[in-house]
Amino acid sequence: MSFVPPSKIDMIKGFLYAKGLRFIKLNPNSRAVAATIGKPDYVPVIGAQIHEHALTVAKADPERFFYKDGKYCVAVQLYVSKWYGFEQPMGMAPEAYNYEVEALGGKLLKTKKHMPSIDQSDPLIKNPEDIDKVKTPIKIDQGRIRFVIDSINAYKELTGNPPSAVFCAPFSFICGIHSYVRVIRNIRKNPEFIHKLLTWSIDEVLVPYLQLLKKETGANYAVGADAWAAIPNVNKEILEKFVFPYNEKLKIEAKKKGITAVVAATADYCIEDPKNFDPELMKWCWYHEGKALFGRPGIFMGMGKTELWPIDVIKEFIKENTSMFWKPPVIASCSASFIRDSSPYEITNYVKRIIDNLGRDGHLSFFLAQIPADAPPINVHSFVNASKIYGKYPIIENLDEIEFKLPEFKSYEEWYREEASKGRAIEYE
Amino acid sequence: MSSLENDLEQLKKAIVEGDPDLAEQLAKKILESKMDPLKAIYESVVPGILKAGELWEQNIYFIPDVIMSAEAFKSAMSILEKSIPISTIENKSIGKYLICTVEGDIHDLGKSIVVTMLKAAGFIVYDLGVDVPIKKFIEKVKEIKPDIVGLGAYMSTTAVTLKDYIQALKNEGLRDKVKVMIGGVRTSQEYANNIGADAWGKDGVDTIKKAKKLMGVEK
Repeated sequence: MSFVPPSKIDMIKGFLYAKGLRFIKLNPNSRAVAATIGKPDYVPVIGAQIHEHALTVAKADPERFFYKDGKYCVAVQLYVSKWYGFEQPMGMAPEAYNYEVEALGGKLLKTKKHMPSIDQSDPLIKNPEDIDKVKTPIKIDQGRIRFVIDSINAYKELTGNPPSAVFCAPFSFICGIHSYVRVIRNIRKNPEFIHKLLTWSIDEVLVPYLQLLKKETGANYAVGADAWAAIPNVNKEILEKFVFPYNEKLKIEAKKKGITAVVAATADYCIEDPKNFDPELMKWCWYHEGKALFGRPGIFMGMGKTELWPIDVIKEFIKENTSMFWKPPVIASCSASFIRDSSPYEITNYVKRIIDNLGRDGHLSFFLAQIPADAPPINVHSFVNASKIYGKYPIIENLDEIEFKLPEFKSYEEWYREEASKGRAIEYE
Repeated sequence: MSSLENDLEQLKKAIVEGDPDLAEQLAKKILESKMDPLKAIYESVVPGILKAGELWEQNIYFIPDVIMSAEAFKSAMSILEKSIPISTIENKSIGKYLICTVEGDIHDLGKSIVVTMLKAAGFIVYDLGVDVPIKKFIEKVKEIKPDIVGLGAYMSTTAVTLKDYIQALKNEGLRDKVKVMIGGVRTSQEYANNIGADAWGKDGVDTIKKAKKLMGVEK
């Protein structure tokens, strides 16, 4: 799984490197492939969900960032990601849950300084009959669709990577257009309507929207965001009846239009209190989330308190799902509060512990699922630094032999000025 | 079991199981029977929502279940409360709790569950809503004189402003007169300690436990 669609060459290079052909030179995309199926040269930090943090670090203009300039929005995220040394910087329009609903006429509560949110108290579809009043498909001049298109094109231009789109997955989309509380109420009171709404979402809204993005940007790869379908926002029964079948339908319908769609965060395990961790439910979630992302079981540490997840249960899951042809990969992470509130030493130790326990045979990478606005930059640098130092293959027997050092780095401003002086800066100021 | 006792039991069940329509019907029926609405609140409605909270704490209920129980609670309360004089509610309350989501943040879902649980626990709750600027917050603190204020922030860009609300209370000489709780997905106990709040509410159940503790009602 990757947020950047790997080219065939990168797939082959990554595959061959992971199988032992060490003379191949890896780039960030092929390294991500190698880390999924075996051992790369070091455990990569693929990227991070970074928009709120990037905005703060780069002292960017929030109004321009969220509302006005798709290229600016992408450039800010890419530059801060590059400063940290992420392999595949995410630089996309950040409001994965808002754009489609807004374009159709849904009400967003907007403030100048912060990311807007859908007004859950006044949804576009309040009652079943409202569905007929919504005009579809989404058109380019509605809401901030041009902003989204500009951001995808900017990402392609600024990174040289193939374009990829972000969209709102079906269940999360209906939680935006009908409101989460109404969706939950109607799952009990009027489930037929929820099924109808999900089908309509895919056929009339989401697949045509992906086609529009493909036409305007060439993006034939799209990642759907589905945080509303994380545990405990939903339970197993809702996932089985109202989420999985529709993600599958979306995938199939998108494929017919030449678009590969994957959905992230469905069944993401976000129970926060370790005393409430349910190992069987955790494994069930990993199985399903992994299948959605990798096509086979694997662990994606998303939005939960993942630094507290029991390593033994992770190891058990890996063992139970390993076959001759597949070992479940782990994309490890830590929570937003951990990366913000911990010391560099604690962060380094966490990365070290994950590598020691889960990375010795490869199949491990990191993705910081959320870096909050006020996370100290030294913490993020410590995370990336630790991954490169402790995760260098072959991984030494006793990682405690490596002395802890604080990472050295230039301030973002100084680094940016230097990049600009070398002609490598993206002009966004 | 008498018919009325049965209705009270059914009302509690409707709230635990999250059936707002049934809860509303039963509340109306109970009122028509001339039963003291306070009896219905204390014997059915409050135990019902607290039971849902317990099931959440035990990891048996997920958010959809809690949401539906909260909806059923609200349906029943909206009927029953109308028949109770405000002075009776005030006399029976533990204290006054003022709650809002900070400026720039319009997330309401978590707060609405907390409000429901606080009401069930016996607080008089003043909900200022979402996107509340510091100036308005301070004005309302002066006007209402709450025992506790609860500040919610659900994005990392708004969580950083929580400390400004606490500072504003200090600047206005109000900090010693009111306890401060914070909540929201980007907050933690450590964060609460760092910015000088009195407590962090992890969720609705945790908030009422800590709020009662701050009021000296529970240890």
